Formats: sequence, structure tokens, C-alpha cells
Amino acid sequence: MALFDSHRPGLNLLLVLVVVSIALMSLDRIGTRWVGQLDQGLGGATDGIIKTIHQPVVMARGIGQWFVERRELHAEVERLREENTLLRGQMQQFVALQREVDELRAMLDGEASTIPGVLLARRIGHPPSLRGNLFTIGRGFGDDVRPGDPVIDAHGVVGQILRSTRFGATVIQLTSRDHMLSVILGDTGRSALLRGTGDRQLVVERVPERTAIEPGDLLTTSGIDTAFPRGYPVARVSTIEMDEAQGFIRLIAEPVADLERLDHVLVITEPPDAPDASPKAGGTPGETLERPAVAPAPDESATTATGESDDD
Amino acid sequence: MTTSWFAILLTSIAALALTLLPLPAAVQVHNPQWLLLTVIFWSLYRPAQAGLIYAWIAGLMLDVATNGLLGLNALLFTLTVFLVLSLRQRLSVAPLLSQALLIATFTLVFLMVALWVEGVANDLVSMATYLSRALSNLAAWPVVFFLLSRLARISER
Repeated sequence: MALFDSHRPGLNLLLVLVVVSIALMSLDRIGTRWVGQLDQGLGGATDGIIKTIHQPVVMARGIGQWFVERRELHAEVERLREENTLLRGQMQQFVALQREVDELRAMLDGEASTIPGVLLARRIGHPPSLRGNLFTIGRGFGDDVRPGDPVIDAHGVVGQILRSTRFGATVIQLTSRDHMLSVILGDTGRSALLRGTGDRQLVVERVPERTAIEPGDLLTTSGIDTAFPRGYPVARVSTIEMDEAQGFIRLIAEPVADLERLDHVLVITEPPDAPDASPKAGGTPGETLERPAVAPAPDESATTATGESDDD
Repeated sequence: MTTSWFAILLTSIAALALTLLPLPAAVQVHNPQWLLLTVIFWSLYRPAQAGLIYAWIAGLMLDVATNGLLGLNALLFTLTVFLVLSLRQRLSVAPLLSQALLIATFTLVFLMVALWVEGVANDLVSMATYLSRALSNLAAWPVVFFLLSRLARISER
């Protein structure tokens, strides 16, 4: 019976839907606020689905923990305790250094730097996009994760929050073609824009030829863009391409963060100028782990800090 | 023949979940478009329930889930379902293999259009201004029609 009904769709409805879709696309492209809200609202549902899919993994991990030998557990606890002591020891030094730097800056009428609060988040999936530089984490709006918040791992900058919903947030990696951030080039103090290319490489264009920079130099966040706090390691220069006709060089760099094996990331939730984060922050382990990488001192000490954490 | 809305909704959510399943990048490329196939199935066999609006909403959910350009998949899903519904009487009785072949052809066209729109996405900002012109055309048409048809009738005499 139903076979012989034509169910020929109405042309009017099609046209209306086409117009609405095109309007939505162009408004999304422009970045209208209510389209963003629609995205965020519906994104809560899809992030919920992603979180639900991830549950079996969590359960499997939980079941796996039942079968771990007691001896191994003790060894693991021992190792972590040692690492914790080590990191706390290092941190004492950094806290002292930071106080010193703050005092010096205060004398120079500069702003005192504070260590921002961080939030440990687990990566729960990656949406199947064409460019593949996005992933989803299990912390959302309720945990004070806002679009634009910086995301780091134990080694360096990973990216930024692109969208935050009730059940999760999407992170755009710094290797994405749509991502840019301001960095300081090694020890030169010169800042430049670091652009993602879509694969593992990052590019800094239009660096004056005379800049004293070599392969292996570290690029750190400059803080000029106000999105990232100053001094986080971002990438290491791998090659320098000469562009002699123009008097400029182009730097090719590779991210320091371990983007291939991301499991846990840290979201910097408080703005870098938020008050009284440092005295209380020492208590929780997530923040202790994060501190050595922060080192709000000049660039050199930031470099050594990451060098040490790389060795561990 | 009516299927409960619950079944349609549940299968759509399951298909979306299958799409979002985290897979290695090499496998991800070959992952079928589960949601599109589900939408095509329902529009083919339950056209009274799952029509264009259902396809549009499903496409929009996919856009949101993949953080893509909002409305792109909604547009493509709607167009695909329109095509399927237009060919429905031939398609629904066709053998399974030729159905699969036809659907593969649809998806090829679908993916090509998707690539093309991704390419011109930068021009979509200027598209917004054209869009307002299209809307004002929509509003102006009745006036023009009324005036010109009046004129045409007068000049007949």
C-alpha cells in the first residue's frame, strides 16, 4: 500500500530547508552569537553521546585494575611517591624563584605573575572531521572550561578549547590550519606568529634574516595574544628556510607536546592575572605536576625547566 | 505501516554514535557514513514519517558532533533525501545490489559537493549579504507580481 503512495516531497519544503541551511552556514562562518549558542546547546547532546561511548573503555580499565598484581601496585605507588617528592622539591625552588622575580618586577613597576589554576581532563574521543586536528575532553562548562582556554600537556602547549558544552569540550590542536598563536623566538626576545599547517609541522613566516635563531631553539608563548600565559614551551625549531630575495627567513618547528599519545591534558582555566592562585594551589597533585612547566621566570629558566621534565 | 518514532530516533542516535566512535585515523577514513545510510533507509521505507525535516535535523546533529560548518551536512542530507524520495518508487523495489550501487553513487555526489562547499566556505561571509538580497526578493516578488500583472491586463485592452 505504502509502495504505491508517491510521497513525492514538496518542493517548497526543500527550498525552505536549503535557504535555512545556507543561512546557517554563512551565519556560522561569520560567527553570530545565537548560532554559537545553538552549536553549544546541541553539542551537549553529542558530547554526551561521545562520553557514553567512552564508558566501556573506562569500565574495561576498571576491570583491568582488578587483575593488577599487588606487588606491581606497590611498585607503582613507590615510583609515583618518588616522582612527587622530586617534583615538590623542584617546585620549592620555583616558588622561591617566582617570588624573587615578582619582587624584582614590582621594583621595576611591572606586573607580578601568578601561576594559573589548571584542570586535569581526560581525552575521550575525536570527532571524525576532515582535518582531524580536534579532540574531545571529558570536562565541560560545569568545570569552568570556556572557549579559548589554553590546553597543555606535561611537555608543552597542545591547543585551545574550541567549544565547551555541558558534558565535554572540543579542543583544537595547535597543528590545525585554523590555529595561530604568538610565540617568542628562543632567546632573542622577538615575538612572531606560529601557524599550524594541518600536519605535524608548524610554521613561523616572515622572520627577519638577522634573527639569531638556530635549529633546536625553543619557541615559548609570548602572552601578547592574551590567550596563552607567557612562558609555556610550544615548539622546537627543526629547519630554517632561507628566503634571501626578501630578507626574511621561515622557521619550521615541531610541537614539544606529545600530540600522538595524548591521554590526559591540562586545561588552564583561570586567566593568567587571576589573584591568589599560588598559595593554595600546592595541595592537589594535578597542580603540583604542572608547576615545573609554568616557571614564570624569563625564557632561559623555562627552557631548563622543560629540559628537566623531559629527562624524567 | 508505521514504525514507532522511538525506533527511528534510537537507530539514528546509534548511527551517530557509530560515526563518533574513536578510531585510528587510517580506519576513520573508510568508516561508512552510518547516519546518512540510516536516514536514507528510513526515508526509503517510511517516507510518511521520516522526510526532509528529519534528514535536515539529522544532518545538523552530525554538523554539531563533528564541529563542522553548521548547516553543511544538514543541506547535503536534505538534498540526498530529496533525491531518494524522488526516485523512491524505483529504488524501493530494486534488488539490494543495485540499491547499494545507487546509494554509492549518491554518496559520491554528496562528498564532491561537501568538498566544494568546504572550498568556497571562505566566501560564505559575502554569501550572507547575497542572502539578505534573496530574502528581500522574496518579499518584493508579490508586489512586482501584482503591479506587473495589473499592467499586463491593462495593456491588453
